[in-house]
Amino acid sequence: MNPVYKRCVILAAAVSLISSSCTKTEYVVNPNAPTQESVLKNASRVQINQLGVGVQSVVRNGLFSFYTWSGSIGRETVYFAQTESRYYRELQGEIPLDPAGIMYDWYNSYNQTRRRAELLLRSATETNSITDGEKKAVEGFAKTIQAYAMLNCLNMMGEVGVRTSFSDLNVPGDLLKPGCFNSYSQSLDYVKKLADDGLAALDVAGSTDFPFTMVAGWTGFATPADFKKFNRAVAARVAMYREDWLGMETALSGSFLSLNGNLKTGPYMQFSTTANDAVNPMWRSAENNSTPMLVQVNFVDEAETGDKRVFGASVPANGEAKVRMRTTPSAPPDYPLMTHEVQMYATNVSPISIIRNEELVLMYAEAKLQQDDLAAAVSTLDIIRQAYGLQVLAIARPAVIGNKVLLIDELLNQRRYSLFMEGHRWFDMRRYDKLDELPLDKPEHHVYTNFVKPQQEVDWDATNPCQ
Amino acid sequence: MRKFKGFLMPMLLALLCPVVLWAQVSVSGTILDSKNSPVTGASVRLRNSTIGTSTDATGRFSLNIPSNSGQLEISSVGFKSQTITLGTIEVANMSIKLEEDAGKLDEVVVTGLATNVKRRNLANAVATVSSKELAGTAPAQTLDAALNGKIPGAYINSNSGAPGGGISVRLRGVTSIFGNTQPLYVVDGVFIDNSSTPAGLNTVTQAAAAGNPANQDNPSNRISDIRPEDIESIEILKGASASAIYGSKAAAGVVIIATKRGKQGVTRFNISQDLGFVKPRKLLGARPLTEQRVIDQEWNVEEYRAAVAAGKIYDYEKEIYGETGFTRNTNFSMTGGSDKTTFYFSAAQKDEEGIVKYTGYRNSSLRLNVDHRITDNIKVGFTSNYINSSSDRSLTQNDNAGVTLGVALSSTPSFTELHPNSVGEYPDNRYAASNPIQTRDLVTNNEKVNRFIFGINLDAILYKSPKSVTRVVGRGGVDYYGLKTNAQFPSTLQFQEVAKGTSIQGFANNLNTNYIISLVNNWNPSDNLGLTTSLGMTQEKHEFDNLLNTATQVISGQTNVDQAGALTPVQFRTKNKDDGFFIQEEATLHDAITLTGGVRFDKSTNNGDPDKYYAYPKASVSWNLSRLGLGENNLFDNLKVRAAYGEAGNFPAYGSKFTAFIINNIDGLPGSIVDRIRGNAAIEPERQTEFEAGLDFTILNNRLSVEFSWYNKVVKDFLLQRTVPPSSGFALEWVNAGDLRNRGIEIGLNALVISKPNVKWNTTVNFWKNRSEVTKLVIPPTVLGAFGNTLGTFRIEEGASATQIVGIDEGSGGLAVKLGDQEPDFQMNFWNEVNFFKNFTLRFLIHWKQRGDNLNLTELLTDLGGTSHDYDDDKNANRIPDGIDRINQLGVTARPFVQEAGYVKLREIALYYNFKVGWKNIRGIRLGVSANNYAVHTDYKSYDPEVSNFGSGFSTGVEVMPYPSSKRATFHISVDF
Repeated sequence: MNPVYKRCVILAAAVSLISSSCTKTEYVVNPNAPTQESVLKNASRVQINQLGVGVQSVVRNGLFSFYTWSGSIGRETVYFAQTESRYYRELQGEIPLDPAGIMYDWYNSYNQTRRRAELLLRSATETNSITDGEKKAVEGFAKTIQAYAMLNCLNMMGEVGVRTSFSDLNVPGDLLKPGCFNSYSQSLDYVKKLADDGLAALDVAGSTDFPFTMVAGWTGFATPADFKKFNRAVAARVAMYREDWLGMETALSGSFLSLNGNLKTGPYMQFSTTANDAVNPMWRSAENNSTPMLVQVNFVDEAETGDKRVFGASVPANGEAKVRMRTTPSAPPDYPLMTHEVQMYATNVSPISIIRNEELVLMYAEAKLQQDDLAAAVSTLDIIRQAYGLQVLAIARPAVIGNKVLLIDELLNQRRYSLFMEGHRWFDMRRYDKLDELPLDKPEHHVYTNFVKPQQEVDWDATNPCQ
Repeated sequence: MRKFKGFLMPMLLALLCPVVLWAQVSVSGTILDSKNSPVTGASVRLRNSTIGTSTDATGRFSLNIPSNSGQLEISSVGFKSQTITLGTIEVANMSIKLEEDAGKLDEVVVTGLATNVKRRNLANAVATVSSKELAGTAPAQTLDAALNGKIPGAYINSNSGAPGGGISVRLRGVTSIFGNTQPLYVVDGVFIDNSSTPAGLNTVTQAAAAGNPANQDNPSNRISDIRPEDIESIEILKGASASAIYGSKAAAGVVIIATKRGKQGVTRFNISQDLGFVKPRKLLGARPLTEQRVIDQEWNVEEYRAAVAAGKIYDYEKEIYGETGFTRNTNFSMTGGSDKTTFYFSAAQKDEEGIVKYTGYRNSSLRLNVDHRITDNIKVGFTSNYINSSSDRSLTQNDNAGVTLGVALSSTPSFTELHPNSVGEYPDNRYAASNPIQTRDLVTNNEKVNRFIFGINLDAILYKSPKSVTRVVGRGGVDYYGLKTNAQFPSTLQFQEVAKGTSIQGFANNLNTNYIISLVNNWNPSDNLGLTTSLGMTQEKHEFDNLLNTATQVISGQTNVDQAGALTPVQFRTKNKDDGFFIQEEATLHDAITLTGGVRFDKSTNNGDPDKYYAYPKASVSWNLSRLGLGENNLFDNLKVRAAYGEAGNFPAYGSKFTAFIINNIDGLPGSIVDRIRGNAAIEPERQTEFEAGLDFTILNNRLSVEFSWYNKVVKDFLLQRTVPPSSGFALEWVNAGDLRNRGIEIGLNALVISKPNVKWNTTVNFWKNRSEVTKLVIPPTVLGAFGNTLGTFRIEEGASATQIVGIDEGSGGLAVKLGDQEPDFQMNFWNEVNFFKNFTLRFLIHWKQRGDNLNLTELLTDLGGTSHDYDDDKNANRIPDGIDRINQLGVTARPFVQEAGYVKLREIALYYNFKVGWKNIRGIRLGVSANNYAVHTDYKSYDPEVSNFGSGFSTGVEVMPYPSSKRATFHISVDF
């Protein structure tokens, strides 16, 4: 080989190899988003703030399927999606629930919220940019949110329960060691502990502020001290499902219960049409035909005359009725025609209540009723009745006065109309063992007791036994 | 500048190095076949030099060479090569006859990054597609469509009939599940981007709701930009045993495209014009209605009676999908050059309407390919191509909002009025969320591409002796495009009541740069031994930046995204850099035994460890028994056995090593939350190993050649976005999940059936079949790619076919069982060319796909909407309409959706007539008529068995209200002067 060429080539090869041997960082970082590694250790105050806002934003996740699916099985609504018949065929029990199907958004979302709250907590724990008091405030917030989300998840799963632990996902191979599914009551104990641990941490945080902005929906609950009232409201719900009536009353006393206060008081989920925000998923335009939420016929038929929650102007029309009569009734094939549609929100950015005084009042009535203080229960139920234009029980339904069994029915009925399409009816009927009283639109329908374990969880347990 | 040094230095140094010049001798002649017809496009080269040309339409060539010595090599595909020793013969006006060769044994096939061998010595079954096969019969709209049915071993599937392409190409089975399944396209040495950029239609269609995040926007893929008419030939390396030298990009195969080059001699021009039309290949038809049916359906019977009385019963399917679209394609090309510089120039425009009003495809292209010999030893080539393409694709496919044409049609009965009134107002559709006539007329869904591809080729002989030649070969280039997606949904649309007008505008910039520099030494120590050594280095860089703006509440009549009440931007960027080097040794003994060994080392910033090199070895042997070993034999003109082994890789998907935090805002504040997809810092590339063995022979005096291949292809550590238990708080995680195997056979047959003075009939028949199996899976069976067990889905499961379709079934207890397989039993094609009465040419291509299942959810939607044409049939005689029978099976079994999708298609047929014109300037005129897809036999019930709701990835064959496919008829005229 000609020596000149040889030198040329060797030189060229050497230059090229050197220039390509080290990898420049511009190719190694993710240009699209921050990564977990960048926030878990030594997060800055700004990062903690953004993670905290992030958790507040995901409290909304899973809401649509939680409300709509539980509302469908609880016979509050028939979700007549034009292009997806499984939303009514499966939920109304005409065909089996598909563990690998499309019904588990709430399950995924609530478990993700648990994980996201945990990552906030971990980032807060492993940084020096916030004070110890603020760390406790974060812990109280994170655990309360976890309790709220996992209670919703657990109620959908019923006796199947939830995984009450999941190993630390930052250890290699960790994903293969999931905690076990525990029974409904064991899982409830787990949720109770989350709420109680949250309260304890909030107590330690004292008058410290949260190291992140609390968005406007949490007005009145935006400091650790005030947030405890929300924590106790969640704890009251847990106690109700545990049938711990005294505990329920105690929790309510620490909450924002106000028997004579505004029934609408409470934290709200906010929505907007701005970028990367969410719109109210429950909102439907009037007379919607593509994905209408139709009202199961008995809901209107069985309402007491004059009940403003059913009759009169609907919420979008500045009234209080949660349902609106359609111009064109609608129904899936062979269903009774449904004349009404769910109309609870004025616009697609209207807020949705997380938990409000009205529910606390109803829980108070139940606590009193179950502890056999029937008079207190009646007077509390009357607060609700009168608020919606109904006569007090002594006049409207004298037979129930003094009769605990009938009063329980009355309580469930008030819960049915006050908490319509907010994730209660199905569970109320289940905890009082009355699922067989729910109406069926077609004889081949069936009321499910709970959702089945998602296929992914079954598959995972099959290869990676829980521990 | 530093980063360019590696590329430019060797080139510059090579150019500056001194060379010697010789005196010139002119050689000219005509190349003829055995019937004395001229052979066009035959290559004439001076051995061991860069000097060469090719023959024109009359078979003539002329060439200047340094001295009257050396050897001229004459070759043309389909003919045996000839070598003519100069020095003693007359070099002006030579007449050279070539012998036909059905086995194409002398075809030169590229086997390395800078080296090639003759097919006679090839160890792999490399498929080639010539320009005649590609665009010479009945030209398809786009390049990818033009390949369909022409590549043995390939499963090519058109995603829909929407103008502008969108096709999935799988070579030898499914090679990846979540990695790239599409082959690498290399055009003149430039690595071409073939991605699909969604237009963000999901905001409107909500197709990805209900737990299915996959893109269902039906974008085209970018290889469709390249004009088939500019292509000289295509070689397809179908698996790792052939493509290993492309390393970590080659697991899905490599498609090597060579565009047309200039020819030395007088400047020649060609103008060709195609005119034609497209029509729907098949429409499903409307359901005949009666009053009772309207009542049963709970439709408005008053409206029905009124419509019947007024005679206003419509066939909306035909109105929407039944347009006849006009097509035109104009091509101007010019070629010529001196002995030093040759060029090929083309300017072309194609404009085709679709079968839906306001849809269509337009492609304008300019190409200039220039080759220049700096000295007798140094040759450079430049290719440049500018493309402007635009496709209007309307709104089709799956949606969950009732807005696409098909979904709206599925629930719209024939008696309701959808047409605009006298002042142009469209009535709301009472039976669906949208009025499809209004949607068709007012919605825009356009993709516009401006693309520039520039390639450089350098071939320099560094050192030359009688026994050894050392060359440096550099190839590389740039592929850049800007893509604009524009989707407009004006506020007057029925379904824009909430969003009040939506404008979605996306901008994507894509830049690929790559180079390959190699040093190649040919050494012939004796007549019986040839050694080719090559070593080199490669680099590929890729940058993609997509900004998608979705504006809602758009000011009436405006499209600008800032004239809007709300604006949501999304940006997605990728950037990666891959470096590699390779060494390869080829040895030829007695021009009969060829041994090849090589290895490529690659690293990539996409891998978990960006600095780790992965090695991809290859080795092959071919033994031509008829040349060595078998002795003189009367039966076989040529007999070869061959075996090849190679490994290739497939990068992890971009970003798979990161666990990202995504943004989720509330109350005007930015919130940061961890994504549902968990990254994997230890992610590794997939590795494919392929062993291929084959036997090729030619008999009957070279008139029949047979090629038989068997392959076993194992994908190790295939990448999967596995579902993790949702209780972990994540939905998916990237893993190297297991191993997957594809085995198959390919049998090819080329025959010169008739060779008479008046009739010459060439035929090619190919048979190929592939079977896949997931041989190892370290995670639980994973369901993916469709809509869940109730409607049927794909499931990756150890011991099962990778493309099996599962679903619930009667008696399965709600569990999913296997119901079908997307993989065809086998495929065959028949390509024929008949030349008769000198000037007539008839060509046709039949493509047969035997079985293979689709998931047809179109039928389910029309059943649920009560509009299926056969809703009231009672084929099973149970006195229940079939439509209701089928609905009743929903939730019981997914079997009705799994439908056999085999077909026999007369894909292309054309008749051409060549005029020999004696006029002064016109050398020839060619007239022709052609048709595509006019005859199709299939049992598949919907529009076309070729369909894919999810685009070109793993899950093809899922159908949800596609843009129906079309058939084409075209008239051609072409003039040479």
